[in-house]
Amino acid sequence: MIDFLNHFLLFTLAGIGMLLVPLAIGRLVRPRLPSPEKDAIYECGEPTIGSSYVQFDLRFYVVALLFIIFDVEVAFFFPWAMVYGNAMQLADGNLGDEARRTLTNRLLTAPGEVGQEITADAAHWLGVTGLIDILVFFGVLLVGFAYVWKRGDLDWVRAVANAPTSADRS
Amino acid sequence: MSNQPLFWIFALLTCGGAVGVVISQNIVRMAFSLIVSLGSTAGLFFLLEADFVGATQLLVYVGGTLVLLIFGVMLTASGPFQQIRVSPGETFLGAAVGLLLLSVIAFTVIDVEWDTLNAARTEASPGAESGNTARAIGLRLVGIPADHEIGVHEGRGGRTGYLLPFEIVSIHLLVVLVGAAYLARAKRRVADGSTGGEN
Amino acid sequence: METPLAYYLFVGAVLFVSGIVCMATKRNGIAVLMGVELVLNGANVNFVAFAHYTPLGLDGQIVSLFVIVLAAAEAAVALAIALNFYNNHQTIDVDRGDKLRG
Repeated sequence: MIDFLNHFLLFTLAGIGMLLVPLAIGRLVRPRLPSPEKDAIYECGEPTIGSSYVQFDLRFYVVALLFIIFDVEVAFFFPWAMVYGNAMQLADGNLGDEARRTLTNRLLTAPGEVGQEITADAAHWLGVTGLIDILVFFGVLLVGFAYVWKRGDLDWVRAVANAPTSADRS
Repeated sequence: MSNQPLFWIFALLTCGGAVGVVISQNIVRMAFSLIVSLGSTAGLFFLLEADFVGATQLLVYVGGTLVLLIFGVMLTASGPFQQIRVSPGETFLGAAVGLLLLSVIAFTVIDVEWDTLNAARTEASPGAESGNTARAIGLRLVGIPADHEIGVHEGRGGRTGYLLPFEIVSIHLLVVLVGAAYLARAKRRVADGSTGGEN
Repeated sequence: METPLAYYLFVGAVLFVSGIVCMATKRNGIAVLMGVELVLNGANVNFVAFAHYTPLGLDGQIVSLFVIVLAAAEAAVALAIALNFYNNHQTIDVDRGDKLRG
């Protein structure tokens, strides 16, 4: 674990150093000839207008909402995928004893003292139930996605296209 | 097995970020302090050998929830409302109550003999110790309650691990998605200037 | 020498108290939401610390996982409410939302 600490500190110091050294070199080498045009804030060549604290369009919120919902979903996919991959490898009937023991220990994250190996049938059952679980999980979320899509919350130009007839319920 | 320096770094960043959220008046600076605090909390999770929880903290919390909050800041920040002043009396009262509450909790933490818990730790499940927790968490989420029960799944009646909460989370997310989209749609209709009354 | 459990609990306590004070004193609605996030994180630190230091094993980690997920969902809904509030009142100051009629 002391190894880990050293790696972390080395990584942090290297990161800070790689940031600071080019900046310092640039500061020492570059000529300094300021002018009002150079000191102005760069905004794609346009003159800057107002502060940067502008109000965003409200349509961005729906995109952020979808992002966070499916972000959570992906976070739940990771552990399932690890279990599923392992279980499907174990479900192979003509797997050698040694490989089966290694895979069992990996699946149970036990450092090598599990009594019996997982049989191919049990692993197959585990993989299939896991797949059904995750499909239910995903399917329920897709219902919400379909709802949002159907109601037109994802249409970027809807507000312009039919603003007067916005009473489009039912 | 000395993680002490790393612990101090992450603990100080976590507490400093949290205090920064409280004492800052600018909402954008508050959001930045919150990022520092939550990111360092992920570091604490890694130190506690909860690698998957730490990764989820970074992925969902720092990468998702905070982005959403910053969206909220940008969707509502406009001119004078960016900083809302709080009177000095309220600030003082809040600080006093906060310190009182903190000292109550701190004295409780110091008083309890936690070492007895440490002694019983050796019988903990092996997955929690090795720091490689994603597979073990996955097993529990798909319904295997304990590590050693896969081979004997015939007697699985009534023990489903965390499968039910896992599926409830999906229903919950569905409700959140539909409800928040509904609220956003009502708001957009008002923003369009047409009648928002039917909502 | 391993870090004692009490240190982690103290970090959790600082997060919790900061969140409580933030919720109580801030008048910006988004800032109140940030206080809620801090409180949930303090609870999370405690859950994971107890999962590591006690025989509970992975259960504490899974509970904290659900807390993270529910915090994300809570932030989404609360933000939608805050945006509606902003749209109706043209401000995010929660002290102005003292009428029952929208």
